[in-house]
Amino acid sequence: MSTDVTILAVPKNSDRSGGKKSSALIDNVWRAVVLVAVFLIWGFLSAISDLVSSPVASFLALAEAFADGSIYRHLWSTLNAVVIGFLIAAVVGFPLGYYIGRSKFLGAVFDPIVAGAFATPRVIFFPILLQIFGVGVGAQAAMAALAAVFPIMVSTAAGVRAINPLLPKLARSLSLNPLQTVTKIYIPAMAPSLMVGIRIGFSIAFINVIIAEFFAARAGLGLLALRAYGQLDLPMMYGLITLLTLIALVGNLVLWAIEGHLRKTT
Amino acid sequence: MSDVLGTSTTEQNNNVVFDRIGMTFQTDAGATQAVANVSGTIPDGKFVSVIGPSGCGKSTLLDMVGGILKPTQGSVSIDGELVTGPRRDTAMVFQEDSTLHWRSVLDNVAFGLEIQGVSKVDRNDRARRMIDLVGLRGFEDHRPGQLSGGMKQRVAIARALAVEPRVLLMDEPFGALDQQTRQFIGRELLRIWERTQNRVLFITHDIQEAVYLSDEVWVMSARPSIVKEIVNIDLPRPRPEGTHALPRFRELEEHLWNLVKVEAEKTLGPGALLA
Repeated sequence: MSTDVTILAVPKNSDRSGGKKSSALIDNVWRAVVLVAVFLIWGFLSAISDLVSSPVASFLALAEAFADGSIYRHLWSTLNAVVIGFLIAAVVGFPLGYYIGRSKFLGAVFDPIVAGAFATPRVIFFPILLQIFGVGVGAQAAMAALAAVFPIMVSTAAGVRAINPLLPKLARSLSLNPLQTVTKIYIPAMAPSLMVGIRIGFSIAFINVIIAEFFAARAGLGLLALRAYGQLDLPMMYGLITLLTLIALVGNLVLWAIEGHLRKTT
Repeated sequence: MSDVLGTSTTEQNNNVVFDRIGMTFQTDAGATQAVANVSGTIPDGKFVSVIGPSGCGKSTLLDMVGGILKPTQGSVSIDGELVTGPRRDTAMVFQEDSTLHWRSVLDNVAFGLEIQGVSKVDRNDRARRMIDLVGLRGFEDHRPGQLSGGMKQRVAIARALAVEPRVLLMDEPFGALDQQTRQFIGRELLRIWERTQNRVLFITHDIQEAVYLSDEVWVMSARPSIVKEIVNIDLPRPRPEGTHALPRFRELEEHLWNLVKVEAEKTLGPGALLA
């Protein structure tokens, strides 16, 4: 699991594994060690505190929620909001980031605005979204879209700017049409940056859906966790936290692997 | 060069003709005239180099032949046809690396052909021949990231040659390479050119390089630039390794250096080159 804060750094050349050889097996062993350590610490804390549910009890509570089917409505609602929100952010954010990155004028106008908006806690707009969409998946998805669109724009714009300026010139000299220029030059040249945008956009969409569900929702894993907290159902609460962590972790790892593959081939 | 001032281009059928070409850029600071009034002809099969002080509009001239910049005055024609945009029979090689780093060497070299819609079998076949020609056999499946600067430039040259251009436009193609690689790849270029016999317009800062490679060297003046003098390089071809040591080579080199020096001093101030 990477808390990669260099998320918006433009991927340079591909020597992130520069020189040092590390065997994949040893890496994986250490990853497993970290994971086991996390569970051991969790187990230890649950043993000394009544406020922490044990890993076993938490998994059992979660398993029961799956067994009786009560969780599916919430899981579905959360994933729905994340996916719809992310897709809206992608459809809006990639083209806007592309144009902001390519145009000097748009860059000058929008760079500070986008950077500023990226830094604001966008969840503060959730009450307005609630007014517009009412309580439900719509408001959650809108929240996710609003939150995810900025990192996607920023990384796309950074990716466009990092393109070798000779490539557009090459495209013109070879008479590429606009579609070919985008599909044969811009998208492949920017692939690692685009993947960064997708990965960060996805995590931010996910985070914001959960936060939004804490505020007001008809269904969702965030709502369920908050309800478990209200009812002092600690095993369920911890079980849900584990589930959410797992979803985020797996999703991110898949995207991260794709990104790493793209970087290796560039 | 006064022979091209006539408006008729019919007798210039196998030439690249610059007809009083000029380029004025509009910037925030006002209008800048980069190229004032350039006329000249590149005859079929000739290798022409352009030298001149920095910023004299050499690259601008090249871009206008390549059809990616429209002259604000005058015109360029190739084989009697006015250049109105990028043409299939011109190809450009740039100073910096312009390889597509996500494609293999083979797919890089075949890129121009791919855009022209040549079938995969044909373009790979042609690309392989070009890769042989530039001495990169065995590197077809490598990515540019795995190659040296000189090898990347050969990929770019092979890509340009693959479309079988009638005019090859090279904008300081060896400018980013070290001296040794530069001389070596220059010799390679001559060898390739002697086989393909297309016209080359070659921009360079390097007077020696210009003398060694060219049939004619055009010396451009400081901005707004005109062609100040066309120097005919009457060294015999082919030009083996010892060519640089010939007295005639030295003479031409010195003559060109004196021409360029006067222009550079206009830009930089007198005595600037003595420091």
